[in-house]
Amino acid sequence: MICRMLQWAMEGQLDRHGAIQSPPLLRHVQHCPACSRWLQTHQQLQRRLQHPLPSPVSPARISRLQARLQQRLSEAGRIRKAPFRPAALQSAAAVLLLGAGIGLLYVYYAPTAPVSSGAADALQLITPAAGWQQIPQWAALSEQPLRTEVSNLAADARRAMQFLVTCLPAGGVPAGLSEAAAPD
Amino acid sequence: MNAFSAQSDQAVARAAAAGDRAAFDEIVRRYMRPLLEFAAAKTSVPNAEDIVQETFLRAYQNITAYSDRYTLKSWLFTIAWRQIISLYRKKQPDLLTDEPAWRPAESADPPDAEWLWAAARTMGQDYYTVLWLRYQQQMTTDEIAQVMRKSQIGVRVLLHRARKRLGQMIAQTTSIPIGRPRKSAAALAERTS
Repeated sequence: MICRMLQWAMEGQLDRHGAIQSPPLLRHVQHCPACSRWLQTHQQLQRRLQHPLPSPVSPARISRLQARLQQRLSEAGRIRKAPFRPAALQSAAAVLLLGAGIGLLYVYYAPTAPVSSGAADALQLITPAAGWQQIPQWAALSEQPLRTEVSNLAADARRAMQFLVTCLPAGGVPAGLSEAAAPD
Repeated sequence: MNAFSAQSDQAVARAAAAGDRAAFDEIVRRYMRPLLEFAAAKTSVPNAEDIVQETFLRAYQNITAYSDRYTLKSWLFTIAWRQIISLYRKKQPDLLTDEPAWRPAESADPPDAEWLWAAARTMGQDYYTVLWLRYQQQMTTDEIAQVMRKSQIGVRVLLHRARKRLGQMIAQTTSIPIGRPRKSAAALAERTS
């Protein structure tokens, strides 16, 4: 049992330093025939495993692969710069969308919408509380489906813009960054 | 010979990260063969070529993420190892089992390196890989642990067991045929009858 533990320790030192460095371990090996035999076998095995094997790939094959790789690396180089272009396009589209949204809001909401007197009177009867003035605007809109549609579109544009502003990273997402970035 | 031939891996990697293409070419020149041999030892040569090509592409695209905490060698081998695992998952769940059942040649001579590696191949992927990285690539246990995403102790245990099993195989060379149980001579005879 003790010999096995010592062999484990010796193995660690052999793997790390290529030799047994601890004096107590060395003394043990000198006096223990089993461990001495184990060390001899271990070193023989190590020597044979370290012996270089014939390469399964010919130099010609390696040259061909290198040429192919050069070509793909050149393409990858171009791809690497590409993420900035979509990011710029997305930003431009977002700005245009925002501009259009603001324009639509201005066109449709700057002048106060006329309130249908009939609907306002009816609402006044049922909502006497403060803030009821807001409601007639909705009532007016409900009478004009086109405005409802436009206001919904404007709201969607605002939400989309807000999403883009909060979610997009500053420089775009570099291709392949999420994969094999580094051994972590 | 180029400007980077005499520089350390770390210096070359830094230059490549700064955008120097010649520096990356030097990395390719240094590690093309070891990576190709590593991948070819685990799969076929055409698959190995694809793996190596993909490894270098990924390394090129992510060279800025390379940290000096790791050796460039283990970083590249880590990417290659992931490519191999991914290939196993996609195409061939266990490429090693497709190898013909290997039997040791009966001989009074001590087994040579090729014999040992053929024997190691029958022991399973992890054992074979730790042995390969340790002895054919001279990696430390730390580096192997990083490449295989295992703990250092895990790698030491794998190495210990792999060497022990190899030792047993050497001892049994002349008596018991070595191979996967389901591909043993008895199983093959049963299938053919």
